[in-house]
Amino acid sequence: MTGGRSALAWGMALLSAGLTTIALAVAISDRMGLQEILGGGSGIQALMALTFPVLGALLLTRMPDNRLAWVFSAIGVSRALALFARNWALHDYRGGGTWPSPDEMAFVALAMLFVAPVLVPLTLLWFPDGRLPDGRSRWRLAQGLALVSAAGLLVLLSQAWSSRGLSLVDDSAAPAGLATISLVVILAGTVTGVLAGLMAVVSRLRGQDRVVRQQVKWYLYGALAAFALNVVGDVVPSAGSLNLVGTLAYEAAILVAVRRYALWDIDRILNRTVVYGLLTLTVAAVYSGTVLGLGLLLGELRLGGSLSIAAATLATAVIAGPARRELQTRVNRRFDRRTHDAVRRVAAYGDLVSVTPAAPGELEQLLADVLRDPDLRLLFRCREGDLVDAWGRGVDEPGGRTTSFRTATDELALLMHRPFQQYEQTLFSSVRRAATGAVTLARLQAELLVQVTVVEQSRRRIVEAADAERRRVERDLHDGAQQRLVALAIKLRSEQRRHAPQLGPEAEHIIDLGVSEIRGSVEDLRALAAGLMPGSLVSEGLEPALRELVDRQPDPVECVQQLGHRHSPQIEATAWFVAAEGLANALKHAPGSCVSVEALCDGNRLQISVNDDGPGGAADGPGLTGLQDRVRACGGTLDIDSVQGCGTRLTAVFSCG
Amino acid sequence: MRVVVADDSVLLREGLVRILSDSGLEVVGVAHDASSALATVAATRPDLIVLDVRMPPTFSDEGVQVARELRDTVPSTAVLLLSQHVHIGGALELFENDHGGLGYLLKDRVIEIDGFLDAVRRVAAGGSAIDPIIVQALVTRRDPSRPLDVLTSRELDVLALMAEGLSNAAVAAQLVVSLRTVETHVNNVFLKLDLAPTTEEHRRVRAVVTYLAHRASGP
Repeated sequence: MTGGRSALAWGMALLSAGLTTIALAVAISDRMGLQEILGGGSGIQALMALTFPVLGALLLTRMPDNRLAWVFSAIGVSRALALFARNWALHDYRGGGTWPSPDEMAFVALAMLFVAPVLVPLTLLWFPDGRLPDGRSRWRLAQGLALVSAAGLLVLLSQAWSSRGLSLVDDSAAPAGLATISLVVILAGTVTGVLAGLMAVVSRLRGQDRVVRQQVKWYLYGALAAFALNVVGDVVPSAGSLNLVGTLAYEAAILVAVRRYALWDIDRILNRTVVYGLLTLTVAAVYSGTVLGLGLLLGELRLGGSLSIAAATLATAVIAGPARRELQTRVNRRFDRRTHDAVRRVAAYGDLVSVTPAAPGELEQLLADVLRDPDLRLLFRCREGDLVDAWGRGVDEPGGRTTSFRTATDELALLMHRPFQQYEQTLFSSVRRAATGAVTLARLQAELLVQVTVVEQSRRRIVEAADAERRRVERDLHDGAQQRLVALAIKLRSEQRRHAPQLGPEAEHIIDLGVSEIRGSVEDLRALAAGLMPGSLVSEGLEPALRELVDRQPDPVECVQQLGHRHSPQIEATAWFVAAEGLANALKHAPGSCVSVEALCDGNRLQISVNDDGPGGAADGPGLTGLQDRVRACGGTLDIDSVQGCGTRLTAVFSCG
Repeated sequence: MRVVVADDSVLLREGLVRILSDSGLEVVGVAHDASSALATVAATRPDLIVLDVRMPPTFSDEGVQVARELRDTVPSTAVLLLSQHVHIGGALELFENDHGGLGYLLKDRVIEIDGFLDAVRRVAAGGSAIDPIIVQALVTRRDPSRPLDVLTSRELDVLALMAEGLSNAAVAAQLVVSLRTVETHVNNVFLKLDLAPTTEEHRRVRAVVTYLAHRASGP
């Protein structure tokens, strides 16, 4: 029955407006002065009669269960009735008795005048959601004051019925006896109720969402201003216009809360109302302007000449569309600044990343910023179904509140965010729509980073496996083949000695030859094993292994080392390979040159370089490319500096782990 | 002379035992890893242990660690380390602090049985023995701050043989020169390298090896 309620509320607004219009028309026709209308109560009546029911209807359209809307509507309608009945009665007293009689109208005017004071405490107690604040029992007591005032009103009216007449619309006539007491009861109930209501509003400032706090704050300003100005206006006889100013201040404060802090979420309806109102005005202006202009031009003195009307209709049709869009943008900029700005920023970022490279995480930061959620996370769904962040790092499936970005078939990304309030839904959905393009790009980037990570890891594993294999082969050579050969040679020698007397010179010679062959083989194996991966690299580290490597070179090599601490086995092995490869290259391409090896570590980065003063001009070969791959696999860089005639410098840099 | 042999390779161990016993030395025990080597030495108190550098469980430098411990606990037992590596590594510091009775040879040196037995006797008698290949590597190492260029080539030869642990007489025999000539060369070497002169062989080895070993790694 939401539609029915809303229709009823709008009906009340319409009724209120109609009654007010008639009342003002009657007043003007009776030559009531402007001063009397504005200062003497008619102004404030008309204002409340026109605005309050509209506010109630707007609120009810958004929140059908908010009973505060009915309070606004009732106050507005009561004011319209009061104004209408008063002016009608005055008109009749001047002009003569028509039905209903002016006495009864005067009575209605009196009755309706007191409805608003009875209801006003409720507008404070029930703000903004139509419910009492926390700690309800206390506020229920304040709410009960409205009943006391209402009872006082009934007593007053029962007393006033008998004396209905002109005196009821004349402020100077004071009621007597029981009526006075009930008047005091009504006033006391209202004042106490308003004070309690103000306290209720203040109590809502605590423990609320920041935006709701702002709404409450502005409402409180308005209510305080209205209360203070109305009290002064009532007490000081010559300051009657202060009541009007107070009501205006109250409505202005509500308008601020509506526009800036989306109170009751009616800003969008207002927005649309304003857009279409302006559009209607524009269209009407263009239409009548064209009709008038063309009419004058074509000498058609009477309005509505068929040619002018046709041209005006055409002009109106042409400008209607663009005008609506332009007005919408302008009104958006005024009415929903936050959404407008957020969408513009996100859209601008989307345009930017389509032409310039984006840094991972930028989009997440931007969304967190425009949606005012510092904990916001944007996660991407890979094609394999895994969830990753902008840098391609795997993350667990989130447990909290998420919103999905999807194509028709696939989920692209998940947005983890705080719960958004009703009034933030427009902002959120607009930002989400505007961000879709950028999200698609960011997801591609995240997927690419995942692939890069996978490739890097597999490359590292391959290198590690190769290193492990080299170590194993080296150990096998040492502990297997080499040991056996040495043992065999020793056996031959010892047998040779033991049987020396029986052996002829020829046999001795053959054994010597065999032993010397075996020694040669052992030397070869030793060199081979050391070239694979020296055992000292594992047991003692890079420094001794490099020393050993340098010592093994046929020509003297200068060696400068300053290492300080051990590095990861992978980095040590790779650094050693760089030195070994560099020395081998220097021996091959720059024979006889002055060669040096440097290994320096400052605690943060390890730099190893091989220099020679040979012919230079080294080009990338398969050996250097393989070395480059190895160095990159453990996160280092390899640099070859080899200008023709200026020697060669091979430098690898690693970060210490 | 009572000897213990520690090597994880059965073939090599047997070969060593055979050589040593054939030449009249008494092999009082064998060991196949670090802990059994320590236990056997503690039980038999031999004059010398022939010790493989690389043994179970980690196959890195268990022999060096055993040697280090034995120097402290059983200084009367001389230690002869056998290695497959040209690189002397952590064993160097053993020489720097040593008082004799320590040797470090490559395994294939054993094949030249006479030279090996020579080294065994020298070490057992409180002398030193360092493999010529290792000495060669130390001598050819280049270091601008401590150059060996000041030595003549003959003096370099003498330096290398001193480092191996040979006595002046042995050096003279090796180079086929007179003892006096060797003594002159030795004095020149010590003078040029600014080393404190000493006649005791193991001290001489210590001085020379320390000098050589520290050439590249700085003072």
